[in-house]
Amino acid sequence: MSSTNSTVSCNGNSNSNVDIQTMDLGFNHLDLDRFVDVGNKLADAAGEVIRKYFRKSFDILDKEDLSPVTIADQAAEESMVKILEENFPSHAIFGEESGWRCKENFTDYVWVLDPIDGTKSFITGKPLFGTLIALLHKGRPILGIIDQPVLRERWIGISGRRTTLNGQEISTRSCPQLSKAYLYTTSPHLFSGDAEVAFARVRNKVKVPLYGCDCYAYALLASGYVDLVIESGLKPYDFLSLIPVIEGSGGVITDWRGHQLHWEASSNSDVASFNVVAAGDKRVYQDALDNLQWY
Amino acid sequence: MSSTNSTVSCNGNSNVDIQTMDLGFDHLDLDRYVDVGNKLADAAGEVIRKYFRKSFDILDKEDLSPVTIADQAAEESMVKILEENFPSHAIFGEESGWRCKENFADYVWVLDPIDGTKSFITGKPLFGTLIALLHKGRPILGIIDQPVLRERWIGISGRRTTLNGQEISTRSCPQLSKAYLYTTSPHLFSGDAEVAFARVRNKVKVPLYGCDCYAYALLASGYVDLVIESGLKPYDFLSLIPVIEGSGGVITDWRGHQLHWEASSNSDVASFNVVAAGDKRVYQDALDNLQWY
Repeated sequence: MSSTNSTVSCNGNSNSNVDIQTMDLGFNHLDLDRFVDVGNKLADAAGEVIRKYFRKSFDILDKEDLSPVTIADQAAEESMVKILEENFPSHAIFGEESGWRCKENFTDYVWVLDPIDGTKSFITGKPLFGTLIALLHKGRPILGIIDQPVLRERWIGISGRRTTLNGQEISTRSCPQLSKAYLYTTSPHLFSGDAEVAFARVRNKVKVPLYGCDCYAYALLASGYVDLVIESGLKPYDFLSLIPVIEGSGGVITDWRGHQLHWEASSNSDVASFNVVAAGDKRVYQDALDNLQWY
Repeated sequence: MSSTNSTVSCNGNSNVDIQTMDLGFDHLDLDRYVDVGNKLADAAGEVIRKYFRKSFDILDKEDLSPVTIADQAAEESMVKILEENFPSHAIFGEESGWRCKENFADYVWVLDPIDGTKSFITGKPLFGTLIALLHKGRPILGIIDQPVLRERWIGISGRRTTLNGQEISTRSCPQLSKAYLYTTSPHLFSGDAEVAFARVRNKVKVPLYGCDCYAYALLASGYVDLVIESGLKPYDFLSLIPVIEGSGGVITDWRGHQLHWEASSNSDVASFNVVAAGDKRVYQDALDNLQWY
């Protein structure tokens, strides 16, 4: 199997309205529109599968790390892989379920897919999980989709463009400091050791700490209803799609040291875990970093 | 202001037909209450959808819970309908407290227009409108309504619970190690309650967070096995009782006693520890581990 070593370098410049330098980046707006178009088809296809299985009884296969995997998860990923193989046979794919696939020796493009982020919400009939789709170009996410197929809500973030929710442009909201912030995280149990202590420093200072949203919390942040999302142990397929969505709505998303989130996608990538902080306003972001004290 | 001292005693037998002579109302009355209950939920839902994800003023209540204009407007819309349809009934609203025209009222409507205000405020569509009708202190009608998703759970004494008109049922679950547990937040347990909750949480298959009343609705529908919470107010659990019992589940306090609140003009709004389960076996396992004596 061929491999490509592409460094994911994420666009730290949250001036999402700067036009892409097409010569520098090797693709143009027409290419990007085509990628967005196929991205929508992926989300449509995954959504069809997911709606068929949501709140129906089905087999649950326990994966080694004790996360339930459902037939819906696997079927939704297959439906997306099939569309990509038809439309972009030279692109690589990294799926949460099926790992790395690549036909070519070299490829600048990698699609990173998580068909159901928030499998436990899905399994308990709670309609706040998401299908996550990212397209990396030379390691940098240029397209990110968060899709909630039951509520029919789709956030699309595109390099150089304003993020939209169901076609409407959205924006994060202002928030000067932690004491004014509404914070989301999925669960208190996803922080261990030092991460738990660091998180608690921030959580104790925010206006309201809330739980239980998975990727949907980041979508709410991009839409301007939430100020801060802090999580630990996220896999690349769970944050890469968030980057264009959040940056394109005026927000910021990095690791806990304030560094760009960076993952090399290849046939022999370890799927490392990352600590992620996202904010709608640079001031509350800085306040969060100052309190995380993650050096 | 008149008061009525009615003891809330909850019906543990959800499939037993109402003894109409004993209870002082019949099925026609009950159908009418359900009909008006639906109108209440429709009205509150209209208001709520207007305000969801719009910017609006947030007034901080003394206990630091954000109150929204939507909350107050939705409650007013329900009170108005009740005053038109059942002027002799009493009302206890989360926002506006006790209202009663008569000296005595066998019937008390208990309303929480938005349970899960923090979810509402952050644009998360999993809050609920809660509506309960008490007859001589016993909840005979309970509604959980999610107006954005357009999902309505209706529990009626002596009848099977429905979700959007379809009958639903809890699912089987033999013990904690197989159970999916929900609670709203780890921060809502203090002192001994936190310790007791942790005993159960450490044994369940998966502990999950963040659902408010929606978790109880999911339990009634058979997708969740256990919901355990501390510090719930009566307007936040009374409506859940007919919904859960009517789907085959059980809901009590942490000692296994029936949830019991006297609604009157001078009721303290006490807080309760609540456990709900879809299966009596996992319920018993939870009680055994809560060890709340």
